[in-house]
Amino acid sequence: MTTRMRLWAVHVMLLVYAVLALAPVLLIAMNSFKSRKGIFRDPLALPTGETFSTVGYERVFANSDLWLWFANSLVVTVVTLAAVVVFGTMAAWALAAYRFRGRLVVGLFLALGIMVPIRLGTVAILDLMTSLGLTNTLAALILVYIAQGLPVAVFIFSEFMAQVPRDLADAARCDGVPEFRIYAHIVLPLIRPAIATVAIFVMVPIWNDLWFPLILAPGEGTRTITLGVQQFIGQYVTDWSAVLAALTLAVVPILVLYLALSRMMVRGLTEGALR
Amino acid sequence: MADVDIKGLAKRFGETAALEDVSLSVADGEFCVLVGPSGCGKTTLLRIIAGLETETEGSLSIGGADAQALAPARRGIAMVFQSYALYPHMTAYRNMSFGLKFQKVSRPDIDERVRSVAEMLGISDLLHRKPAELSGGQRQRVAIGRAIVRNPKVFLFDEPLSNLDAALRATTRLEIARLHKALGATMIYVTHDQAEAMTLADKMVVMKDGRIEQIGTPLEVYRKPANLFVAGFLGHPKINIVTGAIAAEYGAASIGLRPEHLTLSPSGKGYAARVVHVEPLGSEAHVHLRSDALGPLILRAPSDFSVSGDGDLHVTFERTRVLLFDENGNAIN
Ligand SMILES: Nc1ncnc2c1ncn2[C@@H]1O[C@H](COP(=O)(O)OP(=O)(O)OP(=O)(O)O)[C@@H](O)[C@H]1O
Ligand SMILES: [Mg+2]
Repeated sequence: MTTRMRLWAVHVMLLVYAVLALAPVLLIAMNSFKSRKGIFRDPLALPTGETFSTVGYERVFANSDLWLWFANSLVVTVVTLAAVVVFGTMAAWALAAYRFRGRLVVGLFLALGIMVPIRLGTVAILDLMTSLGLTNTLAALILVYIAQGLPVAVFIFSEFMAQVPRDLADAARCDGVPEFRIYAHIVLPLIRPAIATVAIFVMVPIWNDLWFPLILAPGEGTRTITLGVQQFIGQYVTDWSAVLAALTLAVVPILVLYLALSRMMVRGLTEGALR
Repeated sequence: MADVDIKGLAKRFGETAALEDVSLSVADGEFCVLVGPSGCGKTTLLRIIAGLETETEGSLSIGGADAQALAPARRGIAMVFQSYALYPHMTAYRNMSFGLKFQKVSRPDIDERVRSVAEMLGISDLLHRKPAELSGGQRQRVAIGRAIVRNPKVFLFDEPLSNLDAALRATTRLEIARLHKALGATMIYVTHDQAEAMTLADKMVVMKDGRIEQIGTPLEVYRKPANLFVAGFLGHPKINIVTGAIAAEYGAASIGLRPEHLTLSPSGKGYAARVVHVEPLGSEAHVHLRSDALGPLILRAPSDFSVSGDGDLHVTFERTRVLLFDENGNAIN
C-alpha cells in the first residue's frame, strides 16, 4: 500500500468515527429546535418553517433552577479539575523524580485505581458520606470525582514527566532552586500539553455523570445539570423539547472548556517544549 | 580557598560498582581533567562532587569543609551538563538569572551580573532568545554563563564540548582556557577528547572501570604511563605494544613504542619492516608497517613521506624512549 492510500484509509476511518460520534449530538441539537409534533413525525428531518419552535428552550429557561444546575456542575467540574491537576502533577513528579520507600506500593495502588471502577465502591462511599454528613453537598461529589480522576491523571503525568530530562532538575538543584520551585517553574511548564490532555480526560466523564449526583447529592440545591435535566423526563409524560434543549445547552460549557484546553495542548506541542 | 579533596570514594548502583576507591585532590585554582572510556564513572564522580548523587563510601571536602551533608547549592559549585540542561521554556536571560533569584541576590545585582557575563561570553545579543532559537555553540555559552553568574568556587564540566563540531570545539577550548585564567576558579572537567585533555589540564586523571589508573600532568601521563591501559588510551595514533623476545631483551613482558619515536632508515641497522599502508594527513603521515620481529607498527612520519625503492626498510628507535611493562601491564621504571 502506498503512503498516500494509507493516508486516505486513515482519514476515511477517522471520518466514519467522527460521524458516528457526532450524529447523536447533532440529532439532539437539531431536534431541540423542533416542536413536539415535529420531533415525532420525522426525527431525522431538519427543522422547517412548520416544525421550528423554541418552545423547549423557553420552558427550560423558564425553569428557575437551570442556572443553579449549571453553576453546580461547573463548580464540581472546575474544583475537581484543579485538585486533580495540582495533586496529580505533584504525585507524578514525586513518583518520577524521587526514590523513596514505598514508591512502588504507591505506584501500584494508583494503577489499581485505574483498573477498578470507582462505582464498585458506591455503597461504601455513600455510607462514608452519610457518616461524614456530606450527603447532598457538592463537596461529596468533588471528593469522589477527585478519587476517580487521580489515578489516570497520575499515570498520564508520569509518562510525560519521564520525558523531562533528569539534567534539568539537577541543573536547577545546582542553581539552588528549591524543590517546590523546580516542580512549579520547570516541570509544570514543560508538561503543559499533558495538563490539557488530563483535564479533558477527567472533565468529560464528571460533567456527564448521572450516577453519583443521583446517589450522593439529589437534593434541590445540589443538582448538577445532568441530574436536573431528568426533571423533564417524567414517568408518564416526557417534555422532549425541553429535555433536548437542556441537553444541548449542557454541551456548551464543556465545549468551551474543551476548546480552550485543546488550544493549550496544541500550543504546548508545537513549542516542542521538551527539546 | 576551593580545593576539592576526595578520599576512598565508592559508589554502587545496586550490584554495579560505578566507582571504587577513588582518591583525588584538586588544588585551589587547578584545572583537573578526567578522562577515560565510556562508562568508567566520570559523570558519576562529577555528580557526587556536585551533590546530585550520594556516595556509598568515602569522604569529600570542598574548600576544606566537609561537603557530604551539604545540598548542591551550598557547595559553591556550578555544573555544566553535557546536554546543557537549559530550561527550554525560558529565555537565555532567564536561564542565567533564574537560580540567582533564590540566592538572595538583589534584582539590579542579578541584572548586572547576567549582562556582564553575557558580555564576556559574547552572547549579549542573544539574551532574549529561548534555547530552541540558539545554535549548539550559543546554547553552550549560555550554559557556561549560567554557571559563571553563580560565582562558584568550583566549576564542574561534563563533556561540555562533545556536541559541537570540530572547529567550534577547538575555539571554545581556547576560550575555556582563557576563562580559567580570568576566573581563577577550580575546574574539574570531563572529556573524551584527548586534545582537550592535554591542552587544558594542569592535572590529568585517567580512569577505567570506576578506578583511577593514573594522576599527573598531561606530559607526565603521556610520557610515563603507569600501565598499558593508560599508555594505550593516550596518544594518536595509538602506541605500539610489542611483546615476546624483543620485550624480553629489555627485561619486560611488553614494551611500548610511541609512533613518533620510531624512525625509518632505508637499510642497515634496526628491524626489517615493510610498508603496508600510508595515511597522509597533510601535516604528517601515519605509516602502517609490518615487521617480522616487532609485529604490526604505526609510525608518525613527515607529510612528504613516500615509499622509495623496493620498500625494504628498517625501523629504529632510541633505547631511552622505550616504555617497559611487566606481565601485569604495570610500568617498570
Ligand atoms: N543512575 C544509575 N543507575 C544505575 N547505574 C548507573 C547509574 N548512573 C550510572 N550508572 C552506571 O555507572 C557506570 C558509570 O557511569 P557514568 O555515567 O559515570 O560513566 P561515564 O564515564 O560518564 O561515561 P560516558 O563517558 O559514556 O559519559 C556505568 O556503568 C553506568 O551504567
Ligand atoms: Mg558521562
